[in-house]
Amino acid sequence: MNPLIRLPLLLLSLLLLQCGPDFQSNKRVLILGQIQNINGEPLPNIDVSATTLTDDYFQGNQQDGYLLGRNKSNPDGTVRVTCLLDVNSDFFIKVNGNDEYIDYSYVFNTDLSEPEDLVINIGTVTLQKRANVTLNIIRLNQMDMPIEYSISYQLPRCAEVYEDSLLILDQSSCFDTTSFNRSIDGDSNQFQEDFVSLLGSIVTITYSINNQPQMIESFTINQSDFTYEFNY
Amino acid sequence: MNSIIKRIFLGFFFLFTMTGYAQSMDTSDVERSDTIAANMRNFRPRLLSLSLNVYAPIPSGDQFIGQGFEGKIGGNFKAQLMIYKQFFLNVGLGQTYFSVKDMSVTGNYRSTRISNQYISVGYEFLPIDNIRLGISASVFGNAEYTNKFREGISVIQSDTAKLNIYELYVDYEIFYFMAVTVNYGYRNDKTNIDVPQELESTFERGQFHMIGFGLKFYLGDANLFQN
Repeated sequence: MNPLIRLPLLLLSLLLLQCGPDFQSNKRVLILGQIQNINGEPLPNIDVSATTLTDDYFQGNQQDGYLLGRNKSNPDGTVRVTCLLDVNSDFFIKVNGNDEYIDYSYVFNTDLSEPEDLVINIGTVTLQKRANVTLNIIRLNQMDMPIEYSISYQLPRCAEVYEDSLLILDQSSCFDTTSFNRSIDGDSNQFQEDFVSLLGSIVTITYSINNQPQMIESFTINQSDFTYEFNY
Repeated sequence: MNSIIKRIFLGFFFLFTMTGYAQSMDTSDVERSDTIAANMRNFRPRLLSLSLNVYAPIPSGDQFIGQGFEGKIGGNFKAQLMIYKQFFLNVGLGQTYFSVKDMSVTGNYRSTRISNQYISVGYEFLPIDNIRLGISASVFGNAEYTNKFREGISVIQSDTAKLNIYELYVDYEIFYFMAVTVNYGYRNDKTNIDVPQELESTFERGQFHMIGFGLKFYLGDANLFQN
């Protein structure tokens, strides 16, 4: 291609690629909400932020979003966040639970719905406590015995997608149950599994020793650093 | 450096005094030149003054500027036309810089540049020799608040406002054609920001004080409409 044509084309494509949020002039929106724990007690000093969503958010990358506003909850648990508004990107509100609580996310698309009266009311958000679970799988029997097990637990993740204040169920997920499988050779006598879940939730271990019929054992996570020993 | 400034001042001084001399010689009407002389004594009229000022913006009030901004610096250019007796018309252009200290009040951005243009009317007092004291209030004006996110990246959001400004200045005439001016201003902009009812009391007005100084140059020695 002629370099005289190539250069303007290159510049044009660079201009088109220069993406970024398209903020609405002369506009602010207000996020209102109430943050509490599972006992209904207000949670103060909880960080609530709003960002624009980038396309790769659902691939787990939130770094490229633009922060629109941020505030902390008051002693009575109420929170007010003043934000800018992006014209056509998703609006992503995150209640940051830090190490103690599990994050809660409220997502809605400004392309589809501009917030009514410029207020986004996320309602009462009940934060669940986070728990680090250590599961020690210990073979007490002296004989070599292979074991296959599946551990199912609730994921420490809650994201709700809204459109016109209506929850879109198929795009939302809160504390979904997940499971993973593992098989251990007969000569190993100890194995450790670590994962993060909700305080108060139930973990179920479905196992089969020596290809025997499946058995089920379950326990409730009752401490934020919880260790459980599974013996066979 | 000093000698250069002195030369520039002297250059201006000769330019203005020569112009004044030529004008008074041009008129053959003795009565008129007497009137001018009387005016010079009583009203010290100058047709036009041009000034350049720098100022410190000081956030005020309980709205978004008062609660969320921190003043950096500002500068303006003013052209003041003496209309009749001590009444004047002023045209002002300026830019004021703020940084955001509390984004929970404003929404997230780092800094704001307020560009403004306005027309104000005022009155000038001549309390003692070499001193001019003026007050003015804006009649028309608008301001654009450009909110910047990160340094170096051109991601911006803007707000607009109807500008209201009240000003006070004291000029000390160093030369016939030049004065040092100390000024105070109060801005009380009415914003056009669309907000929910809960935020109206925060975003309705942009308020700040300005304290600064500058240099003022005078041109001409008559009012636009001689009395």
